[in-house]
Amino acid sequence: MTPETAATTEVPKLRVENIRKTFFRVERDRVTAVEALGGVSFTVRSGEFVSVIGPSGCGKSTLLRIIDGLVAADEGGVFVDGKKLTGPGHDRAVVFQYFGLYPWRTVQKNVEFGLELQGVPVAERRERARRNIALVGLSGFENHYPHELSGGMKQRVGFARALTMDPDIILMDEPFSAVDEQTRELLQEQLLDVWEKMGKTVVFITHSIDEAVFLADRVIVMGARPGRIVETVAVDLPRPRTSAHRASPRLLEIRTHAWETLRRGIIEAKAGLEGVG
Amino acid sequence: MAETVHSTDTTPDTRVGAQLAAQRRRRWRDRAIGFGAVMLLIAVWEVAGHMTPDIFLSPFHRTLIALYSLTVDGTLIRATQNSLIVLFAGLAASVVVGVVIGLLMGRYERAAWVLEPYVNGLYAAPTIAFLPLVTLWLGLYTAPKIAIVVLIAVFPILKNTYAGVATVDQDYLEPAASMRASEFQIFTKVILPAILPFVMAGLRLSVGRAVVGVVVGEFFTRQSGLGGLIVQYAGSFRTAEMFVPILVLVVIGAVLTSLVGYMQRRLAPWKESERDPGI
Amino acid sequence: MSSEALEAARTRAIAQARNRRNSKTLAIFLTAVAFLLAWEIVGRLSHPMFMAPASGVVAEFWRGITDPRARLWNGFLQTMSVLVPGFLISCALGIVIGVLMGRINAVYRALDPFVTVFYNTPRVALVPILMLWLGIDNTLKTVVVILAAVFPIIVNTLTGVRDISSSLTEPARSMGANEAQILRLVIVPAALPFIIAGLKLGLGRALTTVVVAEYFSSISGLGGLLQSASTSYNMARVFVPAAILALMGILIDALLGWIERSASRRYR
Repeated sequence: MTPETAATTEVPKLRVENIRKTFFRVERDRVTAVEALGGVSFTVRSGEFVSVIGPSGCGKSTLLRIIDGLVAADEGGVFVDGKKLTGPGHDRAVVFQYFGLYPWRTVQKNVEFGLELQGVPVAERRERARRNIALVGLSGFENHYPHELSGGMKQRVGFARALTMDPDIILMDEPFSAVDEQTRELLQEQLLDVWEKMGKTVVFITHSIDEAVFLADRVIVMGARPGRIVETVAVDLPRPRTSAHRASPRLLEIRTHAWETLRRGIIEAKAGLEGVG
Repeated sequence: MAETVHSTDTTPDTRVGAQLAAQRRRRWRDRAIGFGAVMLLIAVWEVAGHMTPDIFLSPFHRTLIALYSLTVDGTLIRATQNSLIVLFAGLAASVVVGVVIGLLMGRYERAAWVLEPYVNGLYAAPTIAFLPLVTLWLGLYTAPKIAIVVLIAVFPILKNTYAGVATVDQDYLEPAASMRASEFQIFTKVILPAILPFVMAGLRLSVGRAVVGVVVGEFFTRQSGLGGLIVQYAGSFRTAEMFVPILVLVVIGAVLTSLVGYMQRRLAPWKESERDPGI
Repeated sequence: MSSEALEAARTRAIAQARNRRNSKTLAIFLTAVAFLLAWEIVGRLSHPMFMAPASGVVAEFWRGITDPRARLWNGFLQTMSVLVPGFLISCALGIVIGVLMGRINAVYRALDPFVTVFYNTPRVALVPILMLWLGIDNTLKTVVVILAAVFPIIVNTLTGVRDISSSLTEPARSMGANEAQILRLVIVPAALPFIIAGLKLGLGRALTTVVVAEYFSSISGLGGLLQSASTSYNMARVFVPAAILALMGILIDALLGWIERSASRRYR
């Protein structure tokens, strides 16, 4: 279904191969099977920014958790630098939709958390955390607690925590869905800014087409029931991108195409459901 | 025009100031009403005391005098010490037992299966009914009193801890798992801090129950402490003296409850908005 | 997924769920058996003054309900005759006062200090003085029950009523509901979980306090039986009223829980 975008001879940073996952809900002896992912494959080049969009229930969050190793796939595998993964690792870090901050820890302590778990010496982890807090623009808030911050600031803490782990791949699970529209745009631009500097590989899950297109090099459009890739859309907008690009005709064109694809996927899924019912 | 500009400049400040002042006034008024209510209660007590024989109810000022004389002759201090030892030992034991069992039940499904029926049963049952068993097994001195306090006070802590562990859900566990926390790290760095506010909320509910436990223990085992004083003075119809230990118990309960509440807010400021529904 | 693989996974999921259910039932059953067995063995090995075996307690219970001299029925009825009216009066008083305090600010301000003082007074400490005032008959115990149970009911009802946000009352008001309708159709259903929690709390306190009052006066009710059995050092006889009291607490608590569930089902 998907034409390979680039013939890559080198080993991709991340390769997702034929991932399948079915959830079962058991009530008494009645079992409902929900096929969350029905064979998903794609690759991500090193330093590439890939967005994944899809209707709710298309398994995109499950996909992210499988890549991180939090959830085991029924079939298929995830490969980083050609090596098959068996669980969470320090080469990947997640920015969670719900921030995932610990309310009893200050900003500084939250950002340090991953390093603390690894047993990194205090001085080093303090320094690394401080650097990344500054990078996301939260200097001066080190000793604040999460409940004292706005949603946008909380997510920047989450992002700083992921950066502090110094992973190769950052997995972002609808990170900006809980913040208001204006903050969201600022956060997107800041994310791109940091990404340009750090050169990390990013997989960014979202349900916003605008967000997906504005941020990514490629947009993977998923359909639901079962979750699968409908099409991969290349975003050939120049880098670095700024807010000026939001209104560019090319972006709108890509956006329209992605929306058509997404809608086709939704309609197909509906038809499929009615066919079953 | 100039006036308009001037007023828009200052309005927010004055409005905030006025609001703060109103809030302060309200707080003072509420305090005054509370104070007035207590005064009214004392006045009724005083008048009723004068109208009835002393063996029934003696006026409030006699209780004040009794408070003074019992403090001076050391009776009250000794009794309060005895009661506080039982109270604190009982509460400490309740925290240990409640937190350990609550954690077990919350972390291990099988422990919850096995223990939940008994815990729910004992929570709903008047555990005071097991008082004779406790006295027969543990004698009449301090041990049975502490055991009674634990029997009454442990359940809110236990249930709250259990509920706390159960609500330590994916939102806290998933990031830790993603960052490869070990089982031990998840326990010490995530679960324990996450349940702390729940334990404190349980403890706050337990304080009142523990005071009841102390009184019951002191009534019905070898009489001692403030509860013992109550029985002793009630038996000899010395109502003025009898109210002294009762008042001390009220103060102990109130002070401890608000102290735990204060600690709860200090230790878990992010839970400030959440109340326990009194269960 | 291929259809066989899906079918296999489905079968596995069913088997897992069934296994889980079965092992839960088994675990509960085995624990209960082990508990009773241990009780029986320890009871048989120890002096009757310290421990009675489970079978002895059952036998004593049987004797209690068949032999009128055991006064078990009598004791049960005496306790119930104090507990039931006392608790019902507490429910009525507590809910009415709680709603009034929750809805009318003046009432709240006037009563709140008293409620706070009495809510925090260890109620059992008042038993001796109340005996002095009211004698040791049922009037005393009913008053004691009300004093114990009414304050948590007031406090919880009040909290529940005050907790209701204007997002619930505003639509009703805008559709022209009067205060009585708002009370009946919005406030009470919305505050019900709090009220029931208060009733459970009140019940617990009522039971505890009635036992203490009976134990203290030592001549009536299950608490009185408990007291006389403990002075005769007969463990089997101590267990019977204690177990009945525990069962009463559990059953009434379960009843209140059932009322809450069926009521909240209706509202949803």
